[in-house]
Amino acid sequence: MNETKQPEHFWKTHTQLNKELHRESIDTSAVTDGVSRRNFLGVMGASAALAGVGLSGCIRKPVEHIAPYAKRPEDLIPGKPVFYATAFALGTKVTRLLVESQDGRPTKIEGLPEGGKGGGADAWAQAEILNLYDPERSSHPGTFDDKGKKADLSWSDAYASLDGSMALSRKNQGKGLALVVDTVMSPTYRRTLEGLTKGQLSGAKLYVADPAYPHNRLKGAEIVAGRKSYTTLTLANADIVATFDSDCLHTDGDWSSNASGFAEGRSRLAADERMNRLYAVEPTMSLTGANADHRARVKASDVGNALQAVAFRLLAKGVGLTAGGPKVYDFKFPAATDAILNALVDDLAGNKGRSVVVVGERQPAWVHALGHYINEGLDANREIVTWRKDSGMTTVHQLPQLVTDLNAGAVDTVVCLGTNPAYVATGDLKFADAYKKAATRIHLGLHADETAVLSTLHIPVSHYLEAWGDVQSQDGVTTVAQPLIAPLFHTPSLLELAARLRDGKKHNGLQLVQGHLSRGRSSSFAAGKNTAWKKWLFDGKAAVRSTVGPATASNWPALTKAMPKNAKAGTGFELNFHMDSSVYDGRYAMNAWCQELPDPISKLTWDNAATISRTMAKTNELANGDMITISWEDRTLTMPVWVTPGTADDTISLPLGYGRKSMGEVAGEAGFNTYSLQKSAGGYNPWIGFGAQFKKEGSTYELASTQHHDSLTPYNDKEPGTGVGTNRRPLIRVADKTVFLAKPDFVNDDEVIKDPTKIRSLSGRPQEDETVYKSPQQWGMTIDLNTCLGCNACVLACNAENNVSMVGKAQVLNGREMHWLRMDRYFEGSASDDNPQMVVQPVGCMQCENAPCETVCPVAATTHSPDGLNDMAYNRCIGTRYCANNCPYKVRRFNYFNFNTDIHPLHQMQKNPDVTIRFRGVMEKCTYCVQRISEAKIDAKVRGNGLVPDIDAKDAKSKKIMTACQQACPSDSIVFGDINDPNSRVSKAKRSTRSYDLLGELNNKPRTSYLAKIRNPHPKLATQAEKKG
Amino acid sequence: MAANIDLDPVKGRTPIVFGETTLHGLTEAVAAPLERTDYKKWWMTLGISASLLGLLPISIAWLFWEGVGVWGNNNPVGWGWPIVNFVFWVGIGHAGTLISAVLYLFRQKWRTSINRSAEAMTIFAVMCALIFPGIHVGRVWAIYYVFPFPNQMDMWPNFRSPLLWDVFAVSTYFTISLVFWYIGMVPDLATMRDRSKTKVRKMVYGIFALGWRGSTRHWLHYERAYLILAAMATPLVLSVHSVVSFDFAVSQLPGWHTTIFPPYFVAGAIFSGFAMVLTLLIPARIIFDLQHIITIKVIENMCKIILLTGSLVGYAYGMEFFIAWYSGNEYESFAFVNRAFGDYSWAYWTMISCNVITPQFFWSARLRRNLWVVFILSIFVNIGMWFERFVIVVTSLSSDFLPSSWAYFTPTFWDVALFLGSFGLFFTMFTLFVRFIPFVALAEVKAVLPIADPHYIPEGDDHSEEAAHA
Repeated sequence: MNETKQPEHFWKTHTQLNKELHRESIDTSAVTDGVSRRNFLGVMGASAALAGVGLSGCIRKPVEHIAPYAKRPEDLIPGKPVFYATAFALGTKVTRLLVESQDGRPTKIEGLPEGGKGGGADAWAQAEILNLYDPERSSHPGTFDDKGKKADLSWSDAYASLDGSMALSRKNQGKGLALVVDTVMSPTYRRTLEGLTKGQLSGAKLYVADPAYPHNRLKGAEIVAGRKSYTTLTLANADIVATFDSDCLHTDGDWSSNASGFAEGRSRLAADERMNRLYAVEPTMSLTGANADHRARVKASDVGNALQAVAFRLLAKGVGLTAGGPKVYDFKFPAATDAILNALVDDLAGNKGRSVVVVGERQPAWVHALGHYINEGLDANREIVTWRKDSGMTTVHQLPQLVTDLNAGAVDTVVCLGTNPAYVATGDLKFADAYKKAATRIHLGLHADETAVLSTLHIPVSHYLEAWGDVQSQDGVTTVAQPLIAPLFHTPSLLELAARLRDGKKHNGLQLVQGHLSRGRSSSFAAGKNTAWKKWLFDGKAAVRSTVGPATASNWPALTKAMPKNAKAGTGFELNFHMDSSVYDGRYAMNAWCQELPDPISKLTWDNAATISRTMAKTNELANGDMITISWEDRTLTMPVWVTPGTADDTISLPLGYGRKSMGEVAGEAGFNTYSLQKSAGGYNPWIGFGAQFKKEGSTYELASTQHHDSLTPYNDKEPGTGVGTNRRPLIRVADKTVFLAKPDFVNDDEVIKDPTKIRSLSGRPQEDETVYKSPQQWGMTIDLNTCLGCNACVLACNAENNVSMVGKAQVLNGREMHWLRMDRYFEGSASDDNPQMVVQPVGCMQCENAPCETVCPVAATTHSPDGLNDMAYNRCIGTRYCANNCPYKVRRFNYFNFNTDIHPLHQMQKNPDVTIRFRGVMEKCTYCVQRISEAKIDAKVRGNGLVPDIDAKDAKSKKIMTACQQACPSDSIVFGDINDPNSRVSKAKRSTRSYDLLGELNNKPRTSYLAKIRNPHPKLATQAEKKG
Repeated sequence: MAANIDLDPVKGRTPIVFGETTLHGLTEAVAAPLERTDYKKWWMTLGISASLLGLLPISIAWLFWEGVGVWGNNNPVGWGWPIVNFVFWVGIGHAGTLISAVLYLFRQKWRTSINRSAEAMTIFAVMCALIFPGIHVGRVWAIYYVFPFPNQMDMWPNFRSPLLWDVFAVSTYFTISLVFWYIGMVPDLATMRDRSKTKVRKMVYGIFALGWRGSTRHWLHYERAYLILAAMATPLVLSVHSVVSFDFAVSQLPGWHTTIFPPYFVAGAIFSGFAMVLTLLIPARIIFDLQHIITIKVIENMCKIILLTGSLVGYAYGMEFFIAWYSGNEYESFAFVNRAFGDYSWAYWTMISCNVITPQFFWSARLRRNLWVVFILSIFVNIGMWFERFVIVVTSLSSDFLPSSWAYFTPTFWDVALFLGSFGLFFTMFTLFVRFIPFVALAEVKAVLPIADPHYIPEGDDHSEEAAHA
């Protein structure tokens, strides 16, 4: 990251810094004993940051004082990382985490391992570590004038202002007070917020401003269950999964657990096992659709009709759906879609109790309710769908209501608690104008964001890694969120501020959390001295009574009422808004890791684009990067198009979360604000827009994609074909399950050289590995393409673990992205195909035994280690780039510039100290996380029997190894271990008949091998290409 | 023109030097460029060349300051213009040694009028070439790691790497060429010393003339040394570009991994080298009024070699395609189809037009003797040969095994600036060379005059100069 600048008001003077350190930091996270370890190291981190500020100005170095440990803090061995369990929520999705702390600095976020699995924190959960160290975070309270210019306030003035406003509100019984909150998954915070609408503040109202808040899902469940309810899926129990506009494996619902359950059902490959089958009906290619066996390309407005048609045909088939249900109608679809729906109906009917319908948040409530109705009939609620009362807020209003109230003059004080309504409000609400009608506008948040600049008071808050909190997931598990570091900017936490709003007093987050969670427990517990409390922290699970109770859906007549009377498809172009795969709803727009993470489908970085189908591009003569102006009612937006297979015709898909122009150097240039087009007033479903129009602008815009070509059959599908075709490259091997069962070693059919004995070196000498690889343990990896979904969690994990540089849009355009692990994406079929199947393949260094990179390096900077790794000696490398040229997998990455000049002091704190920061001019690549291997080997020598235990080993005496990518994988597709040990998990995987080497004919002998992808199409559709949808 | 020239009365062949053939007249003609100063065109050429040369330090300084990223290289295309230019210049550096050593061993006496300048061109071209591998690495300050020298790291370079072979091949070639050039120059430097009118000139030429007095013993040693060096240089003509081709042929990349590369590269190198000699000498012989020494016959001969090597190169292009198809290898076939019809087809067809079609014009004697045609075609050949290297280096890298990594290469301003700067260096050196060193090997030309090989001619009156001159 070389593009960030230091905020002007980082610290003004040393005296100011010292004052704040003394005043604020000690009490915000005081654990138990005087100066705690975290506190101390937080101060250390701050002084390192300060040193950096001074250095950059070419002035004399400031005098620094370092304090040695007079007495070593407990559990801290310098240089040894310590891990802490915590948790965080993104919308309703809760991830339990294990955070690595290096000498007091949290450096890496991983999923909390549970039940022998890595835990699979998704890309966003992992990227939070960079949010913590974001130099563009707001560090100081302030007030903004009409032009959005900030005037800093001292903390005491800011608190005085806040307390004053709230005192006024209390005097008015809370009348005219609007509290704008996000999706609340924390029990303590929820109780605090609910307290804010009671007693002295009983007139206050809560409004939710969070695009991730599942309005439609909750409303849909409410229709049939009579109360706000939430459903979670156990996809491992489903043989047939049918998603209706739901990206339930990547951005919708509890995607990590869905992905893991789906992968489990995907792995049932034995003849007597039932592999699951995924159907996706959706308007734009989601990662879920990309992994489907059958994917129907249907306009968003038709998805509900498709679900009706399924219900109708199920009834027609004599499948008894529950009595009292609505009258459903059949709809006509194009033949290919129809065939898929028929196959789906066939499967659903034949797998009662083992099949489920999943409706996505983007669909209106009645479609959700209809889905529940079908699920009830399919008996899915027994093993697959779990109904629970929504654990969220009971009375919460929506943003259009706030705008109405503001415009009516009913609100004079707005407090935005960690929310950014000015950005996420749909364009039709004209939120900024309404917001300014409130006299007192208070914004509490991490950034001085779009809302903050419109506010009269802005107070920065702590990141969740700096504050005490708790999180309760939808399945009822509560986790205490522990802070990993003292607040970098001496900020209060949102929870503490929320408590302060009520009584104007200073609160301590730890006491708030303990107080709430220990209700009904002994006083010693409340003081945190109880071993149970410590165990909660250690386990990442608190044994508290869940507030989540069961719910049941039974009110089917209500569904009949909710269903549209005569549903028909909208006319004109439909606008599809959806969460972005990289920046989600925009909250990760300031995160360079997320910005540079290629979209799994379009492979775009640093931008969003209006995605359209190939047919639509052709009829409108649009090409990638052409600017179009979309107009809808009085709102217009000009943005580039990106042609993406799988998009429904007459549909423009618009990812949210970009175009945050005022948000600094990372977010500022990236993409276009699609919220500005959205509509939500009057109960309008904001996700789908009807009646929009667009026109071509004639100008173009450069979009940075990391992968330009689409297909494994280059030139066969260029239009018009160049005639000289090449066959499909056998890089990704795929077969239907029936084919696989009939021919378990089908992968060998794709070998370029069929007879493996014919692959030998020119010299005819025996392979070197027998003589060279002396170490008893030899490392290898397998990647199961059958379960790999392409979610990018591994890519982000690799970035975080290995200090991979982010290079920015200009350099991505130059093809110089540095990702050590990349997610290759190919479409199958021809270019004229609007609904091709997609395959993904993570590619990192293969650690070839006969590594072609090693022989060509003139200075022997890349050589082989005795345990079979292809090592890189950075300080020997002179940067000829010959190795990269000769790598057939093109996994080597060259530092064309010094991407690490002036690493911001805050970013320095994130860097993994076990991995070298690479300088300009050297080559780098995946190392199999050699630092983790070395650590485990040392541990094996110290504590174990000298050999690193396998990941599956029972009662291992020393540390096991998981590479960062393996650790992050929600579907456990990556297996790493010792291939010399025949019983290791990786050896077993390599013995699978699905195992093949990428480009094995080159005799490079890669240590990473792939397990072929198996598809499970419906027998009736298996033979015919159901590509047209 | 040639038709008007009388044949050599002894051998019955076209004489090597036309017109004035007195020894003194030759000396005067060859020494004139070094002693006169009123060459307007020369000053213009020097001015332009020196301006281009200015780009070289600027673009290198910017490169060192910022990093290799100032060029257009990207992740699949790790080598771009610098390596293209390196191979281009090394290729040009081939003609000199071929002319001076190989043709010497084959007793091709027409070489004498051009060997000095061709060798000079070789030296300067190799100097230009050597810049590129030196600066294209990521960490220039550590480039000395490639040399095998005892060091505290106890590290040797990797002798399996073709890049290391390059270091040896090119540096050997440069050394031998330089020594060969210099040894051949000693008698002429002595001539210049003897003609010097200023003290400085006398001293400088005197030092480099190594005390040459033209005694028989001197000549004996000189001839022997020259022969030995010619014998040493001859294999280098073949080896250096073979080794350069190993950079590509030894790799795994489709489009690079080809056994035809060594002979194909050598043929191409000679092809481009001769073209560059023509490009330089056609104006030079006019500016310095040496048409009677560097005769149209010599130019014709060079055209014929260009025709031969150009056809060899064309054959190699065809053979590459045939083998790509015949191998049945998917990736190999694709690499070549992609060259001809892919994103870089414009480069490929530029190369084919310049390298395969251009030389075919030289079948016509009329065109071979038309200096404008020859001059323009020689430039086309060099454009074509640059594009050949571009096609090999860039298209192969940009689209190899995994389509996911494919990317298009676009050069930057600094790519172009550096290349132009290398031309500046080359032309500046050459321009200076023609004014400070006799650019025709005077002693050698004198030795091939009929006067140096007196014979009884029945029709003539005696062995006098007049007879030979008539």
